[in-house]
Amino acid sequence: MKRIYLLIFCTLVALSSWAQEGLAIKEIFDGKVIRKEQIQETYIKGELLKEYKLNTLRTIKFTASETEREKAEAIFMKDLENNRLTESESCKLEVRNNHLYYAIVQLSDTGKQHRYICFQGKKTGQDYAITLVYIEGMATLTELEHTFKRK
Amino acid sequence: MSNDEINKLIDKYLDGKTTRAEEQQLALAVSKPDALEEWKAISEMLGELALGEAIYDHLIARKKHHTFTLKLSWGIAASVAVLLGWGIYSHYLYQKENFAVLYINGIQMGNETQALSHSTETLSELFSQDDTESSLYELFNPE
Repeated sequence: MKRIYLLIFCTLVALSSWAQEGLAIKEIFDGKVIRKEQIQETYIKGELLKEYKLNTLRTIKFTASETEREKAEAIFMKDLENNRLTESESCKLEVRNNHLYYAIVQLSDTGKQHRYICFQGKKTGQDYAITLVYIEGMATLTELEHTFKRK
Repeated sequence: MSNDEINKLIDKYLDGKTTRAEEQQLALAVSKPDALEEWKAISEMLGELALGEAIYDHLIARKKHHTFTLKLSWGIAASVAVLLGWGIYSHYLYQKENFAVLYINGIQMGNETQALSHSTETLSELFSQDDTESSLYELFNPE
């Protein structure tokens, strides 16, 4: 039932959203929300990603307190709300205990490139293990699933 | 020119069969400090005018050759500089658009392969969300 509501929510957002320059999650990647010293980060561009049909891949992982997690979640949701896609299959969300647990979202394309943002917030004891990803390239969501989903 | 060649040219001059260019060549040869004694007479016969013309033409030719060599050198140097600059710029652009870095706690670590491995592992975790686990979660945490 929860998933149906989420699917409807994503569809409505996709139909009513407006374009916005830039992404809010850049703040997190730039170390303005969580200090760089607390983060595990990778940043890859170009030739190394060619076999995956991508040109940019940026990932960060960090352990967050409740407050930091809420801040990261709010920033992610802000970018999700600016999604311009009309296809409901472009958004996969899971909410647990009224918090975003997991999301893979396709954003509006820049020219010919597809853009995706991903979020995961797993509870670990008193804190949360947060994963945030930005992907850009020619690969479709189906192709990404096929490539990276463990068999 | 060898002494034999000079002597042949002298014979030709005395026969009145030399060209202007050959006379200038002969004038230069016989006016050198190490010229043979017997050639001094020929030098006087040629006269200062012929000698002067010969030296002048020789200097002009040397100057033209020097100017051409200088321009060629500058041209080559400029081409090398442009190619080198273009190579450096292209390499800079390539480095800017092709890289893979891994930071742990703010410190760059590992190499490109490790950075790529870390990233793809993260993507695998994300795209391998277990639907079974989610269903079980919903089952044991109804709204």
